[in-house]
Amino acid sequence: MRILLIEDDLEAAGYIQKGLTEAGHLVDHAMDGELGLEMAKTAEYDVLIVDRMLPLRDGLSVISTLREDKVTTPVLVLSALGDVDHRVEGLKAGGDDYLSKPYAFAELQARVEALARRRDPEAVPIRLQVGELEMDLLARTVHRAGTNILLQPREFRLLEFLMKHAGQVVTRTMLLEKVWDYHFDPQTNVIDVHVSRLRAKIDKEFPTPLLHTVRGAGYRLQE
Amino acid sequence: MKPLPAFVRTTTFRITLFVALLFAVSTLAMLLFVYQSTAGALSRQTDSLLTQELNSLSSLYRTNGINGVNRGVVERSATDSLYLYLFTRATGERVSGNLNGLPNNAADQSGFFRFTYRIDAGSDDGTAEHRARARMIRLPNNYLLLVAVDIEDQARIAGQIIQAMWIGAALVLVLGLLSGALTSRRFANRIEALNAVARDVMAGDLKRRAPRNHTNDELDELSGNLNQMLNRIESLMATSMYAGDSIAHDLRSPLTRMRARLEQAVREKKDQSPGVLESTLDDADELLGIFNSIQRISRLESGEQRNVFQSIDPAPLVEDIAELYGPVCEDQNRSFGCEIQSDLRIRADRGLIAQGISNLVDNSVKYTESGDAIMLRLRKCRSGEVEISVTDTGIGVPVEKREEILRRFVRLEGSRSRQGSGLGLSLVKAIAEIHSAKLVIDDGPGSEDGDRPGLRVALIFPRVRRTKK
Repeated sequence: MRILLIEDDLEAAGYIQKGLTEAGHLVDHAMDGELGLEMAKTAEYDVLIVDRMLPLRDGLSVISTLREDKVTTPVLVLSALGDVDHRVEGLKAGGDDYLSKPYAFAELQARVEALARRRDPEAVPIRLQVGELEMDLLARTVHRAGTNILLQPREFRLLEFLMKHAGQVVTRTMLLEKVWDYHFDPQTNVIDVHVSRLRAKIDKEFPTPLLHTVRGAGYRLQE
Repeated sequence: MKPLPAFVRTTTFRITLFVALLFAVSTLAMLLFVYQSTAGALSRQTDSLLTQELNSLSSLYRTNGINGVNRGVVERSATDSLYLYLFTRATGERVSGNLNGLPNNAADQSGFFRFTYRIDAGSDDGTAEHRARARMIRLPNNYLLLVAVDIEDQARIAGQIIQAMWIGAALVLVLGLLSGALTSRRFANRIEALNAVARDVMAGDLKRRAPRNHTNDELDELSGNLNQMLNRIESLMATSMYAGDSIAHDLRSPLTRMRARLEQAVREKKDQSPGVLESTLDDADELLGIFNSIQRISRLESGEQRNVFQSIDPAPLVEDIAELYGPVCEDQNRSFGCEIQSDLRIRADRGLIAQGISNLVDNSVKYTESGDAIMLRLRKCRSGEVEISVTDTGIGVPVEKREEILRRFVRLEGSRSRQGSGLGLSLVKAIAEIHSAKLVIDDGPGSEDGDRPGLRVALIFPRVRRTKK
């Protein structure tokens, strides 16, 4: 997919560009807010990655100007300011996700790919399917190969998120933010414990595992 | 020129000087009024008496002519009257009256005037000079008629009044200046004491404190506030100095590990040392984690977020944490329980409270062993305060160490081997402070074998009055 990266730190930009290009994406780079705004308006991108602090035009102003012009491209905000207030500001300006520096590249990649998937917000699915695993969002039931799987409410939301991002890497922080709505890092690996419980329910009795651990990054639900 | 003394330059002195002048001027005005209504009234009365007497003599002229006037003057001069008379021809030749001759200054006077004359002192030392006030009229045929009143006593009193006025005004001015100088010097001295403290502190002596006289006047209050401000600055400095030391200390170990691994990798040429890069990344993450926590604590301590708190029911939040950590505890073979009272209110930020409780549960997991128990509790105290507590049956913390563990980077002996940065409880403390909550550390219920006291850490939130919608 086509990604526009608006970032003034050349080294960080080069590193992101290289990583995403290696992952098979097409990445354009703008060095300042004005140029970035111009490029985002004129070309079609799947995701914008916008640094908060930019020369010529502040990152949040780039986003809010785009939103006023009805450009709905999903935006990932990058920032050295990591607090909850700053996150809220970023999202209020029209950002879709917020990542504070420093971050692991895997985290950035996972979030960018998750954002691209969100392009179609009107289509609210009522059924999700990954291989032989099926989720009915209305009846709130889960079946695998015809067998009913009983899940706790939180496990259901966890699986729902994983299924919506099937095939993509989902990081622990993303799960903590999107499934639990917590914006801090617990010292113990609470997410691992919950994922392994979920895995026991959906994979244990079956020959092929669906929920994979991606070393150094997170998890991926895939056939 | 000699420089003015310091107190003269003070605001107080200038104000006192102004007030003293104002006071002197108003005293002068008041005395003038007094003078007008005493000495002034007397002399007006004299003038009207003179006019009356002249009128009565000139009416004699109208009825009996010059001779009539002359007779009148002679008769009246003979009696022991209040008045002095002189009736002369135009040349100044005396015709009659009890005055010897025209006063020197009489020629060019018309109307009222003042003169002096000599009078028998009565005793043996001859004559005395007395002041008199006179009025003179010219009669036809160039006769002059003068009537006067001895005003020696009056004039003396008026002179005394005027003298008293000047002395009084001068006295007021001098006293005013004197008291101004005294008060302003006293004030200037006290201000100077404060300035001296401020200068010493600026020069680096943070231990200096402003003198108090405990009268609770405004300067004393200022001193008190200044001292409290200095106490706060001193404790902040101490904290940041301590934190600086500890940061250096705590960052040293992961950095040393990182360096050693990288060095080894360089020596052994890249691919032969598997896992080096991964563990170096882990170390880097640990370092970043420490920095994040420090930043978070600093931001909390700066108190910026305080005003965005809302009144919330803590029950769902505590339930969420219980749900998040229950499985973790079970997996690590700790029994986990919770008691949650619903429908309470606290004024808080959900995310911060969740983080605080999560840190406490994390700690409990860390400092307990397999088979221990952890309990998360939310309840209302009898006082109406709301308490969230985490209790465990682990190794506990000795009473004398309980203050210490709240400080940044403090990790007790024996826990250094365990994972952690020593920032968890500092963060909880900062979260408690920003919520005006008390952080209380007690013994827990004790382990089953009685060897270990366990630990109970509680956040006690002030009661919230339900806000009207």
